[in-house]
Amino acid sequence: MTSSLEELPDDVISKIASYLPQQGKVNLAYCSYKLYTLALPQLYKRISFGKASVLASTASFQDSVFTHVGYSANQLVSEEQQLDIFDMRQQVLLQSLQINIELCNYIEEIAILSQHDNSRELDATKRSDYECLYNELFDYIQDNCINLRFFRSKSPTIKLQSSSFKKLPNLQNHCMFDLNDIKCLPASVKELEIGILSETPNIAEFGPTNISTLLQLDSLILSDDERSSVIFLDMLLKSLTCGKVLNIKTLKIVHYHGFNDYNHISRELVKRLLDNLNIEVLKNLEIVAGCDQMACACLGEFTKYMTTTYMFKLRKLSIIQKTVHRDHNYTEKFDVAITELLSNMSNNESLAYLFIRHSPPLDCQMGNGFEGNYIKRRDLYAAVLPKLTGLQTLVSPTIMQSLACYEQLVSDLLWNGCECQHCTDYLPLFDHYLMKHNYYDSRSGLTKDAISPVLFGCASDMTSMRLSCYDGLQTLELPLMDRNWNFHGYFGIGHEDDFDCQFNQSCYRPLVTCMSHFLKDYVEELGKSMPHLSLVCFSGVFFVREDQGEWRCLYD
Amino acid sequence: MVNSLLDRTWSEIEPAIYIILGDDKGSSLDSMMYTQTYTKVYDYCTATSSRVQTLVINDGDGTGSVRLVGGELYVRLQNYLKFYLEHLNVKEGETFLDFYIRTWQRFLIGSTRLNDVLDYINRYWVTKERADGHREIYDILSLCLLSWRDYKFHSNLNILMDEIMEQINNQRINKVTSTSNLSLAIKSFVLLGFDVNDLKKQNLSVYINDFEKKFLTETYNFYTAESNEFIKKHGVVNYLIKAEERIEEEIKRLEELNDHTRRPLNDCLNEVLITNHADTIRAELTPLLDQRRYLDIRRMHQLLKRVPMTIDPLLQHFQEYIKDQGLKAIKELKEQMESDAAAAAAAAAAAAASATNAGEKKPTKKTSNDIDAKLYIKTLLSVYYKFQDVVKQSFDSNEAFVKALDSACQSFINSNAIATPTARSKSRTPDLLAKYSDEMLKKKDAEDMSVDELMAIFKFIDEKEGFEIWYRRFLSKRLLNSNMSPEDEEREEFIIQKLKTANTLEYTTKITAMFNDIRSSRDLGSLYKDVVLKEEDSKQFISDLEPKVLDSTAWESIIRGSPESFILPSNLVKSQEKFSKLYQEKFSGRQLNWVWNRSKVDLKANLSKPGKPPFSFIVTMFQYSILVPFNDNDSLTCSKLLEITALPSDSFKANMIPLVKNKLLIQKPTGEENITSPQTTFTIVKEYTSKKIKVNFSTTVKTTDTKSEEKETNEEIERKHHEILKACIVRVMKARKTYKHEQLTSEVFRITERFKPSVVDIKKAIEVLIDEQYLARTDGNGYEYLS
Amino acid sequence: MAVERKIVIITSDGERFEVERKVAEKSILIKNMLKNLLPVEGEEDDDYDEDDDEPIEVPTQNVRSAVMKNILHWCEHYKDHTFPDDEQDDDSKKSAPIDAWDKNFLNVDQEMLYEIILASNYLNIKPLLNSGCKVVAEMIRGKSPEEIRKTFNIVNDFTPEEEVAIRRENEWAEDR
Repeated sequence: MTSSLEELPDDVISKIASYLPQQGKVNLAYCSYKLYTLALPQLYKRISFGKASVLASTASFQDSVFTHVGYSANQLVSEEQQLDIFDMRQQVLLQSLQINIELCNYIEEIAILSQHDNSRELDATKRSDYECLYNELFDYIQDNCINLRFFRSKSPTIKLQSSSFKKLPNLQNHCMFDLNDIKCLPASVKELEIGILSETPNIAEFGPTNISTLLQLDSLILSDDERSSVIFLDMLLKSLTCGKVLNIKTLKIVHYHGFNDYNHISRELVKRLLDNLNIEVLKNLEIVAGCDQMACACLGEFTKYMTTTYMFKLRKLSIIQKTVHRDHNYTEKFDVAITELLSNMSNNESLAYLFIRHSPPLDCQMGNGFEGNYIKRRDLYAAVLPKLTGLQTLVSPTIMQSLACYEQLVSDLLWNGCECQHCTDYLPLFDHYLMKHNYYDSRSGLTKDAISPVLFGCASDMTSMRLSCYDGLQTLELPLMDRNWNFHGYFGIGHEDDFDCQFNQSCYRPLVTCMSHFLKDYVEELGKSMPHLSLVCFSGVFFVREDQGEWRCLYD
Repeated sequence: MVNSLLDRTWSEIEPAIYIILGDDKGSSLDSMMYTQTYTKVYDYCTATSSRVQTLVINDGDGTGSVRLVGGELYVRLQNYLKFYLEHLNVKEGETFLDFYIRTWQRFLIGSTRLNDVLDYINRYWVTKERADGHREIYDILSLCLLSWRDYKFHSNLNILMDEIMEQINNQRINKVTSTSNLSLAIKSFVLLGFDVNDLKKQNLSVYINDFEKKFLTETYNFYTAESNEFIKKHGVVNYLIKAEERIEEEIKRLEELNDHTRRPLNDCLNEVLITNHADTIRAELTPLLDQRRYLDIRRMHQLLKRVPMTIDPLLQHFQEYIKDQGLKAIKELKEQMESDAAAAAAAAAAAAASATNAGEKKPTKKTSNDIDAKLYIKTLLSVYYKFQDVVKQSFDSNEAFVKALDSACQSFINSNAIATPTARSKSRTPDLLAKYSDEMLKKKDAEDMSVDELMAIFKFIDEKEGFEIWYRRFLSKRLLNSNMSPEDEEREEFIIQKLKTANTLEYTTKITAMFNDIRSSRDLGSLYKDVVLKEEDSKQFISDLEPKVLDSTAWESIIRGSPESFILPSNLVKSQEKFSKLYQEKFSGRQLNWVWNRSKVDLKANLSKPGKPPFSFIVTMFQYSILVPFNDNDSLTCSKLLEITALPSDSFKANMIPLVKNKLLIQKPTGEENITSPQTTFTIVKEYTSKKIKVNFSTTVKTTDTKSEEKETNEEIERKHHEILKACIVRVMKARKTYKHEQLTSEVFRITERFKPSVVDIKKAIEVLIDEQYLARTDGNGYEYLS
Repeated sequence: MAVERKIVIITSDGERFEVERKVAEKSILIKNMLKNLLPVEGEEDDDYDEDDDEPIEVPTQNVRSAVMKNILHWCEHYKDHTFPDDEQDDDSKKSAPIDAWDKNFLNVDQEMLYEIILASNYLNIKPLLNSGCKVVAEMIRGKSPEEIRKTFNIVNDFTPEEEVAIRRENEWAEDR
């Protein structure tokens, strides 16, 4: 007779603990010594850092994977206080690791979450994501956590030192900022990411022995930074002599055609890299694609080249739009190219995971945003997605922003939206908000009355940031961050001085709920033609399919 | 307490483990025993009291971290495996190899089962340990295999390998299939390799080091001895068959081995069976070719092909052989021709000496210069076709052999005893080929000559320019002298098309232009006729004019305007003027030069016996001008005729001779030497006698051209070469600005395609360019381009 | 091919359950066992004849009949479902919500829940074990340590000093 939780086998208890959110793990550990010894390794196993709190969920177990070090969950705490809390948490963690060295052995993965990437300009007054990190802590972790397997950081300041490699026999990934790291890269490293390389080393120094680790890589993430990718690829391809091929499972490549087309070399190198891959083995692919030239067909040519040259057998595909276009007619080219890629790609029925990130303008002001154009674009996807019969997961982190670019569509949502009680109650409120607020239109240089694209654009930008900005193949494996918006800021959204504004963070979640009702229609429509689709994430709003085929929104 | 539980558990599962691995009696495993053992292990691993769950094993890395229960069972099993394996012994009368295969087979199955029965240790304890970086802990299956490796494999490796190799050698010598299942033993080498970091990854280190190395060395030694012996005893041709068989056998053996060995084994066989004997094998090529044993050659090629580097010398052998054959054939032909010619000369001399009634003249005797083009080309072709067939039969039309054939042909076709009697002479093949084509085209149905043959040789000709010029010369004659039927034209055009595709468009422009000239001339002729017939006084004109208006660039040096002075007979002047006017109207700005020495006239002569139809004479324009005055006079003196015609005396003489010889005009006093003496008179006969109604007086006119035709053609070729070289040099220098002499020369060599210039030619061209101030010499044997 | 032999699972209390092979094979333990019981050359095979109508008996010493009934219910439900056994694909499944059918299935008293978890661990039925653990996790989630102890019969064996120390140690991870 089993009567107490403690009587279950240890590994079962550990498993249970692994499904608990961090507070749950902590509380379990406080119950008894045995539970302490079993729960604690789970608490310390994966730790993430970032300027936000975790998006709590009662339905999914997404918040159980990582233990997060960040902000307080209380949204009304001011930014300064939040930063203090963040700082203090890091310090306490460091102390604990120093006092009880045993804890270091539990740590297997460190992830530094950040919204900081090229597509987003930083508000100069704020401290960057990386500046809030406590260097001493990470140095200590590198020196003492011998079981560390993953150290995920895109920061050139918080990174693994090559001197630590020897101490980390299980290290599996590395983000490289210095090409010389290759020389001492441990054989256990299977995933290599190219960061912004510090300087150009003498490539001639890299002999075949240095390269041997590169040949064993499972995963290669090339940098968005043109120069770094070119340096690395050049070195890699030169050393790939006598018909050696790479058996890479996960790959990120960039196809970018900039204004001056300095990118030509990089595009050629990417093609050569693909030629040196064992395409059979490649399972996960991320493509960053962009073309700044208005009248250029290179995206279409590129996708045609990809589909006709290689017999892909992908499981996961991620596509990221590199260029922000302020006109429907230009951004549509990207859609035409990728829908063609999806429809003509070999084995597209075996694709299980698809991530598409568009780069709509942040203020959702886009030329030619007519309804007819919206329908054209929607139909492109409506025609191609059902061909991906095996698709299980669909992630489109910026779809709401893209939709918001068509004013008619979101105005319709606002005025004639969903007829449920929630929306009937709240939507007029946001209409009222629009009447009382204005924003700064950077294109005309004027302050204008707020319109629905601005409202939904900002709101969905916030929900999108729930996803940590890692590459599209990985993003769902990281914790989701709770985000909030006080209905002001962004590009100078404000109101007349005499208006007693009641809009703040507390109105945000109801707005997201309205959005989720709007998005759910799309999800249900897709679900009809895609039998295996079971998880959809649209602009950070999650939907799962239940047994009976009903879609459920997870957080909102 | 833990220890007593451990002891109890172990004592309960040990008998089952024994049965699973294979006991003496061959007891079978039943489901009860299976689940009981699993359950015992499960219970042991999960039965833990709260605080007493740590057990520190003293491990190498000194981290001494907390370990879950399970390790003790693992250690016990480890020891038991050692005990079990050390007590497995060879049965009576069993070889070690058979023992090894028997026990290994059983142990592998046992290990796989044990891995599942003790699954909970894998799931619960091993996974955790390995995740913590304890690379010295393995899953149960791997542990079993490792134990085998340590206690059964390594300690017996020598005897095991010896017996395996003994079996393999037995197979090789006696061709018997092995009594033991060797592949099982060999696979054990593969399975015993481990990658400690990733147990799922195959690691061939054991297989490569312990099996493959020795296997390859023994294979090498075995076949070294065998092949040396075999060649000595049975000769190369039989060896080729043997080696083929051996390779096939060994490749079949690969089925028993790991695929990794494929390359090294192939390399080894190639070296020992082929590379080491390559010289001996290749030496056999010449005799085999002599004996036309193409199947054996094919076998040789198939074998050598396995080692590409042995093919190069074979290619050279082959190429030399063809070249020699080609040169030999031509040399024989030459000797044949010479002896024929000598015989013919002797016969002619004899005939001349014996026969006084010289009624019929024997064909003019052949000089050494007069080579039978058809025979020559046919001889070249016979060699080419013969070896083309060899390439197909023995070498599967392999590209490299086709190339060797081509190079050889190119060599002997361009220079051989006939084409280049002396080392310095220019090759005569282009003009002989042109002549061949001429002969072919002149015949209505040349069954034994074909365009394909022409093109086959043409492809090899170095002097494509030379051929073109010769071809044009012959073409011009065909165009001017004969009326081409539409079928003939078709055949001509077919060849032009072929030449065009084999070369560049530009190559045939002149040939095509010549053709077009003749065609448009025909049109001009009928245009002229139409116009003239409409004229009121149409009688004053010659309506049947056959003009040939020829573009001077295309026809240059073939037809040249005569330098002679000449007065056109007055009855033709009007027609000439009319045509000139018509032409100028149609093509204003073009200059029309009349080439009288090439013009011919068809005339009717009322010199027949009464009641007989008039004669039809074909005469040259000059002859015509001589004959016209005889309409009014029966006799005229030479001086008078010279005055009327204004011809220079040598032309006059040349044209007069046929008229006199054929007894149209009676000369007084007779004798060729008197033709041009002013007082000599010529009288026209009243009645001309001839068997034929149509008499051609023009053909026997000795023109100045014929004598110098060959010389002129060769000059033209040289001029052309010179121009091409100059253009080439200028092109190179324009790009390089300054260049060393050697570099320039070699680059020019490289880029001239249609002929092979000599160093002297290039030097000459450079000199000219310096004179013309395109180039200047620089210090130290170089040149500079002057713009 | 002969008619597939039935599997009879015998529980610790001696009850016999006759099931289809594919149902039984949801348990990796049983699946492996069936694979391994094929006779080996040289072994006397007493209970595995090709044309044997006798069912194959599978004793499961650690599962009592009441629990086995539940387990087999679950196996029956998923008998035509193939779970991905690729370890790497588990990541996304790991954070997925509990399958609604499983959630309903596991809506039993705590005692039975433990036993199902134990049995699925013993029989090596991973998807069921995962669901079971998730259900327990949902029960723990949101409870204070004291509430957890109460719900799950856990005795606090910390000294007050220890309690203070571990609270300090893990303070950084607590929600506030």
